[in-house]
Amino acid sequence: MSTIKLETSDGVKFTVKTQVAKCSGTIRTMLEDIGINPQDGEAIPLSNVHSTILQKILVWAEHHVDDPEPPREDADAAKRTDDICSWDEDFLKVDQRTLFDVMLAANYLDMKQLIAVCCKTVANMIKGKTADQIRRTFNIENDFPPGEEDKIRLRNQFCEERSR
Amino acid sequence: MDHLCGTCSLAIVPPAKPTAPCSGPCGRRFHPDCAGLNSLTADVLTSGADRGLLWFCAECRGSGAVWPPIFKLLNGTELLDVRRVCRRWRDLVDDCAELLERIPVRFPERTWIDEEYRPRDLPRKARIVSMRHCIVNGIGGWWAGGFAERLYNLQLVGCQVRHPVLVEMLRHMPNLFLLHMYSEVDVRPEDDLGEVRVRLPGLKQLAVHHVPWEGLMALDAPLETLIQDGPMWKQNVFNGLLKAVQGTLKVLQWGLNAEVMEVISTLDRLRLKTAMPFNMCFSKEEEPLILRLTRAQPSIEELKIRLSRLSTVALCEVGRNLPKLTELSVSVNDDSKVSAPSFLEFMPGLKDLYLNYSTNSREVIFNGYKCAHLEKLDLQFNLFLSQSPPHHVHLKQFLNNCPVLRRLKLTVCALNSWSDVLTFALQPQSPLRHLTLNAVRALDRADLRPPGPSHLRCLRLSECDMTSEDLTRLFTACPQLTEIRLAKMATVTGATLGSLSPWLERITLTECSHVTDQAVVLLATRCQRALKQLTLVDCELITAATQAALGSYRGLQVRIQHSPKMPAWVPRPVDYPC
Repeated sequence: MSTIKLETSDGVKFTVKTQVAKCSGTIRTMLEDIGINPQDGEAIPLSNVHSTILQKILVWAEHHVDDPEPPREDADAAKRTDDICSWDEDFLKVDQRTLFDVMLAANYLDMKQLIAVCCKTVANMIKGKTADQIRRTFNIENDFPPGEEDKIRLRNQFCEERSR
Repeated sequence: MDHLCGTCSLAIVPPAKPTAPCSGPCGRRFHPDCAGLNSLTADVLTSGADRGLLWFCAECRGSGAVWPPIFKLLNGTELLDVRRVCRRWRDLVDDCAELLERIPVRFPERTWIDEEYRPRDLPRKARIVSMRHCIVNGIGGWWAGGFAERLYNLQLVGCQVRHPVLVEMLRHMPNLFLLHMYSEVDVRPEDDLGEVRVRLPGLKQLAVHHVPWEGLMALDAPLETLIQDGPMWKQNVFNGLLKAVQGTLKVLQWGLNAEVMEVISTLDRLRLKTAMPFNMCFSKEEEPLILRLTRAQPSIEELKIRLSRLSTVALCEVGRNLPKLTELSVSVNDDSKVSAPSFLEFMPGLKDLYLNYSTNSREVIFNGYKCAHLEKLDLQFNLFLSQSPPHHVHLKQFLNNCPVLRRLKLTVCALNSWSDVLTFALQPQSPLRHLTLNAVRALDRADLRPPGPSHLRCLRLSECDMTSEDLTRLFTACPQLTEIRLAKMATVTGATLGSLSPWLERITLTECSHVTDQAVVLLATRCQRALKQLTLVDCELITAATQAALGSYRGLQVRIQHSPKMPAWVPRPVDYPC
């Protein structure tokens, strides 16, 4: 079984099955279009990905390597957030920082399925919460000047339930 | 500003206290503790060497490409909350047309709309508009001037609309996809109905509630879904509309009667996939009408019958008439003492089955039947006879004949023993993920011996007479639970809760009278990593101490509710006349 080497931003080298590495669109392009030859023994540089995050991503790719191609864009299915498979749910039970780092790395590596499942996980962290609860969840500061929130509420007069 | 920590705003004095740079547009530096960095990440970031590790502060995360794809997974109401979080998030929503158009525009209730009415600050990119209890006597140029053209969802609920005004409004909505017409249309003698012809090339879904508006007969639209809710409108309007859209209609909900069935059986281009007839009269005359429907429309895949009851024999014929049936929702009318769902033999493709047994049968035997494709089973027995012995249901073998069953719900019935359901539900190979038992009893109270560990994700128990020991063993056998709801279970104690999965994300306890503050806090602490929602309703021993103890848990939503105590009812002595 053929393998290739990947080198992360902190200089750590990983030897990975080619099939697993090809879960990444970025690596696939490097191998197929740009013509990097993995047999040369040269590691493919992934300058935007840290070794701890790549290690985690490779676990995901290993598990999903045999997944069938996702069906063509289905608008309703794409908007659902309650269809995360149990393995992925467990995989993404990590602290927020790691979750966002995985998402950013998946974006760089062009791994659409992983990005989708990360987005759904974060969307589920937003759903059902008030603005204040969302701020607390993501540690975001309320930077609206005094009175600005009331103005937004006024401007939203056509968007919120209210009666005269 | 460059020399201050982005969080604590204290001066940065290298090298006494190393700082981490944000890779985002702000370019600020942060003390590792202030930014909540773990030691590994902090070491790399503060080393000063360029190792390619990107780290974004909380603020910059809001400005990057991270959030828009996440916001696209939210609905309009959720996006309104998102807009109020911070300025960056508000700008992200406002700068994205796809997000903005998802936010519904609701006109204030009881607005008087006429030619003079000019809405101020109306979001021009809206695609969903709702008018509730408005009086619409005319419409100004703002409607036709580009606003209506973009709309794909119009909801008119409880409004009074003049007939020519509604026609005019619809004429400017070429992209309308969904129309909710729960309003009264005022047709006056001077209105000429004969010339009405409204072409809506994108209209696929129409939901109406008691709207006898003749204008509907003249709609020129490729309707796929027609929902009639509430009492029947003028029969000629419904029949006319049905004839007009027979070539495209796939989903139909309507009040069943002989006249409509007469029309349906004459429509040679109608190919329904989903039929949802409902009966307003509770009479038994609907059975022949439903059988007639299934003979006329063999293309039906989903049959959801509301407020009508069908005998087992009739259901057998339904199965024979509908070879593509995948979803059935029906009340079974069977007065024999022992009943069996023999119709399942004629419905091999069923995936979703809801049966309501409002009958006099005391025993229902499912064993001996099989549903190879069944994914969801919901069995509800007679709620009105809750004082009498519950229906005795035999399920054990049947469940083993459902190899892909993912959801099971039983309401008001008695099993031979808990193992009838739990042996299937809790075995490691079981496909079941959601189990709901409402007022279910076991006739044989032998100790529960669940096989486990199961893959069950969601467990909901209400008024089930399990002992504390049974519950402990049950919870121990479900290590992957992410949601649990327990209601009116007096046997739930701190010890039983201690055996629950640490991966629970949602916990709801209702009227669990022995659950204490201490037990809940212990449970929440154990599940802290995953827990998102904790709801406690009418649990007598729960006080504000729980809220106080869990208030600092990040990302956890705690809701404690105590209903007001009703005064004890004291019968008034009857004052008999002498």
